[in-house]
Amino acid sequence: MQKRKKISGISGVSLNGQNFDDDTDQRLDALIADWELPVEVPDDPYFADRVLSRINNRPAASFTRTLTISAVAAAAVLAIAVGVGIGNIVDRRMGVPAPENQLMNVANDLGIGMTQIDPYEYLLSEEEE
Amino acid sequence: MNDQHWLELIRKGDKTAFRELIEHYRPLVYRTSAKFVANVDDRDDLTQEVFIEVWRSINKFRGDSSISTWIYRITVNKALNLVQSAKRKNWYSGLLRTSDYREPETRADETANNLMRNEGASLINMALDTLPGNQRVAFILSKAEGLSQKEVAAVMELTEKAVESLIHRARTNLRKKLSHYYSM
Repeated sequence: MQKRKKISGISGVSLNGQNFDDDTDQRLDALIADWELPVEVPDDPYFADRVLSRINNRPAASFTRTLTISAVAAAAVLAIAVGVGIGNIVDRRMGVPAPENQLMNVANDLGIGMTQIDPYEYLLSEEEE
Repeated sequence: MNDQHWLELIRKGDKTAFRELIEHYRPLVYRTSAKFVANVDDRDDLTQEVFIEVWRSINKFRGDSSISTWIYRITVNKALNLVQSAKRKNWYSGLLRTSDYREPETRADETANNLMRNEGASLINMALDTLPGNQRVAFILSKAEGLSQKEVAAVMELTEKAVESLIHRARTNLRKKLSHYYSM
């Protein structure tokens, strides 16, 4: 058979058009025919024993479920801790004052001690102004 | 022994019946696994996993389909999971190799014909490795296992039309992916 030159490397379309398509189809069919040949299944008289042994040695489903629940709970606690940590870092970076400092500012504005402070009263008086 | 009888006995915990079922369906599972994983140990492990799942889920099996269809379904799901986890592992470890298919096993006494055959099969495996899972499953079940479109549809829980389309798309994609091979 005359060898045809392929022009396009991606789509499989060539200047020779249909002839090239026929060729590629034939070659693909030949490759598939090689691949289709059944795989030899090795003799393994102990296969079923291995499967049954794994079934017998598997942890009970309830144990696996407990493990999964524990892992999920631990992951949730870790995620919350990480979230709080990240929040604190972001606050610090953005200069957001800590709540206790905000309370101290209120006390200073009112000219009273920290023990005498009533933040609700302060907020109400601010709104009235 | 027929499927229904096996099912009844295995549901009662009869391990002798389960052993018989394993012996009967092992070739089917092994052959199908072999089209997804090249490594012999992985195939064996996958085949074991399939039967462990059969034992575990036998009470959930309603019997709407035949046992073989159900076992095919478990096999392809397990195989796709294994392939996905192997890909993730390779990605994590930064290896260039994306599957074992790039290293076809060869024996010293193989004839030139066998080597060429293996090369052809490896090329198809490598190309199949890059196809979407559903196209790959439809193609393997139809071409390698020789299942009808109706049977593939039952395994994949799709319509026959959808299976036909998947097989057609798989073939078109294989053709594109192997275009470099045709130009040699």
